[in-house]
Amino acid sequence: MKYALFLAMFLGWMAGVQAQNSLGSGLATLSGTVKDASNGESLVNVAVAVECGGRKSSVLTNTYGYFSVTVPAGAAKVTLSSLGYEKQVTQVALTKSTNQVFKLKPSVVGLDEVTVGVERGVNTLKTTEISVAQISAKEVKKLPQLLGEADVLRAIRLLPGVSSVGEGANGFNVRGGNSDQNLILLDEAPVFNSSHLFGFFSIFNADAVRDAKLYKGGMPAIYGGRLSSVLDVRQREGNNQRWSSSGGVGLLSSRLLVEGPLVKDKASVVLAGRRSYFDVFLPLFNTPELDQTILYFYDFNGKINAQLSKKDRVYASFYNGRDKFGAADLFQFGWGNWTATTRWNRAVNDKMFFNATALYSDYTYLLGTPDNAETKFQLNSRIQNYVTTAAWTYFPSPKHTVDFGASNTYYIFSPGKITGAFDITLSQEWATEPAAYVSHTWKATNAFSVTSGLRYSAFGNLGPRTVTLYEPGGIFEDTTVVGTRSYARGEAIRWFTGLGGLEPRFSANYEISENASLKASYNRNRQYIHLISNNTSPTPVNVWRPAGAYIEPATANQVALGYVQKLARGAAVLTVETYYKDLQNIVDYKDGADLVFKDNIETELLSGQGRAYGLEVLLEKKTGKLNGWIAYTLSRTELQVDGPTRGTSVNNGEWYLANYNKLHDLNVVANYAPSKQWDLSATWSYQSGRPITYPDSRGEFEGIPYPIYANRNGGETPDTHRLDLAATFAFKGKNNRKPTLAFGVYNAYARRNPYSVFFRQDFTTREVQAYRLSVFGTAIPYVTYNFSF
Amino acid sequence: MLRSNLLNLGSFRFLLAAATVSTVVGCQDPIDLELPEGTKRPIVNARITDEDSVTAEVYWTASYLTQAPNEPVSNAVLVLLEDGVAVDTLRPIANVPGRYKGTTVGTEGKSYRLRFWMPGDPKPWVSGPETVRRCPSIDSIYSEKRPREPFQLPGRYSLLHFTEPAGRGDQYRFKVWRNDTLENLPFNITFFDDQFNDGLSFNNVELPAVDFAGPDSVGTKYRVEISSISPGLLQFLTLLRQTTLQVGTPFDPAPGLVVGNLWREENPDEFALGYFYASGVSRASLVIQP
Repeated sequence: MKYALFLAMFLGWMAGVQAQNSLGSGLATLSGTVKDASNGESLVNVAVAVECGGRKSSVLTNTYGYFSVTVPAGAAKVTLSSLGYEKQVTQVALTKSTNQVFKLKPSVVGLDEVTVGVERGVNTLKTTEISVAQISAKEVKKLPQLLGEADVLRAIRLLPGVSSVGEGANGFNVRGGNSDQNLILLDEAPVFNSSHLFGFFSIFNADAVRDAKLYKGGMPAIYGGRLSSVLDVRQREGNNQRWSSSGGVGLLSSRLLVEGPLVKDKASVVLAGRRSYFDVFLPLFNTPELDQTILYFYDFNGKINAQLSKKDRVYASFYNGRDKFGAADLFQFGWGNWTATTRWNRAVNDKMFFNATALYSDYTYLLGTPDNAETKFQLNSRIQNYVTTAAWTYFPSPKHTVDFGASNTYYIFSPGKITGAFDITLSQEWATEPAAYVSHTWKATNAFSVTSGLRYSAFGNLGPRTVTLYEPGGIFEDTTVVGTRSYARGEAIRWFTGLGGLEPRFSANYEISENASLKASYNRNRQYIHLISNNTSPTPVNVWRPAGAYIEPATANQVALGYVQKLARGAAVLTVETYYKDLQNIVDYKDGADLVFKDNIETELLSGQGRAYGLEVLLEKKTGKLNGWIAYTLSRTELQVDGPTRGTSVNNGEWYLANYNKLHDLNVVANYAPSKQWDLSATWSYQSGRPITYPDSRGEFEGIPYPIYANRNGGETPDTHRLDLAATFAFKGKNNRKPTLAFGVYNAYARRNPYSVFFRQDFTTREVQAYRLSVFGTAIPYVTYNFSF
Repeated sequence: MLRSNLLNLGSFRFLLAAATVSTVVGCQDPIDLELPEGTKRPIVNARITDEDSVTAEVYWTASYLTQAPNEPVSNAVLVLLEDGVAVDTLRPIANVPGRYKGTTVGTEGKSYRLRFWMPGDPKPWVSGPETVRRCPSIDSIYSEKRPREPFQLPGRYSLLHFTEPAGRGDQYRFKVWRNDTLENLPFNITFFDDQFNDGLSFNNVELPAVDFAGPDSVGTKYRVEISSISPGLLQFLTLLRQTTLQVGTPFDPAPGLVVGNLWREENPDEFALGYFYASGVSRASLVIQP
């Protein structure tokens, strides 16, 4: 019923779009792109206001810097404004529809006037966007760093609603979602493991990144495939004005970026690389076993783009990164991502923008012995993605914007292949995920706007594969196996279609006054692939498995309400949001689940539901010598696994806290620029303890004492807090080419924050001692010299 | 090679790499902690093999932080069922509190269950069924001298050859006695299934020999027992090892409840701890010679 109502509402609005469009006589459309005058890169979220014939309309540039606005024909006053750029006012003779490129100059300001390059809150009063945060590479670089590496994911975790299970943990959690419920995109390509060094660093080289946008709720209909968030990271396009390079030399890693025009104003290229050299210092530990240890990561980013015509632009970008560990001829271990994206933008006409994307994403890990080892053994695992997308944006009038498109994702899962002493391969799995969407943004009045969208996705798990069959009753165990069934190549093992694939999206904004607005959103998301991990935090050797014969797709419904208030004449913005999310068919694990190299993974899994709710407060000041933000989150996330038997239930089917639940999460970020040469920064974080499972009694098996964990996540770790400090000194030099020295200290007061609490028992005397594990047990200083030519 | 050992080796290497990173900056500090007191439950560990008569040990659970041993239960009643028929009542072993022994020896292919009553509790507990499965004989057992190498101390190492019978679905457990003492720490819990070695021989030709001990000096005595176990016991041992060994790093699995195959007969959701298992066994012994 709710789907039918939604469809009726949507069709009504579409009729409105058409009606509005038919009133087009006497109007003219100004469309085009906005670029950075210094390097020619497209600028996102630039406010474009066009005033003509007494009517004023304003829009924001899209991800590709494109905009389209229709006003009465005549002499138009065009105003472009964006944080960090000089405001530009231009007169355009808009007697007919016109396409034009605008170039904005970066603000020529000293460090004492520098603003944080954050787009959060800039347009939040006007748009229907809710639960969205955008953070630029500039801002990330200002924050204190771990071992000198500016880290997008670490910065994201300082925002409300985003947390992790602990310091150094792989991945992040958004509004009660598990870390595999985040769709992480790098130039639209999904990234399956976003960490280097087991979670210490992210794979995103801040030099190569333009910005990152996190959707915690109110997700646009173009996005799908994950339940809890979308982190859309875009790489830089490269300078199409002049050749330049920049980089940094740190204690444990260095990086270099080169960019320049292939054809001035038309085509540019950017290449960036980074490598750590942690292993170089291992001999200093005077441990012979560490002398021959390999321990490093590297990554490369590249992007090329060309303006083929006034209407056409093409892009190609790639990422390749890998972590490598090893010890002499004893073992090797490595993992990494490959992504490649090709994209074609076309301004079909002055009211229609088209984007076609084809991309490939590949995550692999390898564990085993080196080629020169006496006994060879290698375990390889891989997931591959082929995605094609066609997306249109239609601007029929200033009051209406319609986005629509379709995509298909083709998956190849290769969970494990062992070669060497013997050869064994786990069955591969193939799957396809077609989707289509349409979304309509309607500025109903000057104060009220609404975005309604509908996404439909389906999922097919395809052969060839031999599927194990079980007794009726839904209990998947080795003891309930009754046989197998083989499927031919391309034959459907199971299709997930029907109304369950409908994902309505809705968000609305109502401006109470010039300085305040109310927001609301609802979104339903569906996720067809799951990261199989029963570790506290995912590891690189965890594998992704698709929905199929026995694994259901998970779904989430989220509602959010928000209030935005400008303070101090716009110098600061206060955002308060509250949300409730329910989760269905989420994956959990049997006690002692054996997830490694397992064909019938369903025998180790449980299915449950979840609920998460919370309050988020963000107070940010974006300008002035002292700027930054305070983010506070009050939240609770609970899960329930209530199966037909004790073995298929958790905590007797009662609700229990997720292990990433944190009641209080407070982050304070402050940047201070006392002079043109100095830039100081500090962050302080506080989180209440997270749920953990403690033993409540002791058993014994044939003389071996063991703990009995009867209440999953019934305990709580102690609270954590940490102060990080950073300073940047700019040497004398030409503007934008000043070398800088960045230094600071992570965990400044050397707090030993508990990542977990565990117990160690003397198995002879039975003496038990509790231990607190701290990932960072000391203050960690860093220094990096940054240069540019 | 053995699946379990290989994958544990894989996990070990992964953890070694992770530990290399985390130990540089991480630390573990002892802390004081109060723990909740859980429900007091019976523990029964019992077994029957094709060579030994049925035995059992019965305890109560204890507080996790106490050093006192688990309280033995001397007046429990334990009855063995063979193919659903009661065939034996276990008798307490004199002067060994909590230990019981029967007279029935297991027969290959037969199914066994244990029914028991705790003192003062009229409601019986029961085990799941366990079948005595075939167990391959140990082909040979020997020692060899090895030099010092990276991560290998010099000395005499003990190995054995055996052939895994063709046909998937077998699981095995190893037990080793060194100088007549059972090596019985969690690290010594060794088991595997035949996913990767079905029908193959651990004879240094098809697969490497099973390297079970070393380095040792001349004169050291070893006794080895291989038992064919059920998937349920394999799962139980996996969880037991996980719970006792895989703790203390960010990459360890979440702790789980180690529950075996014993529950209240009238309510399977009410569980006891421990495990009753049946198995075929093969044994061999060795004295390391010069």
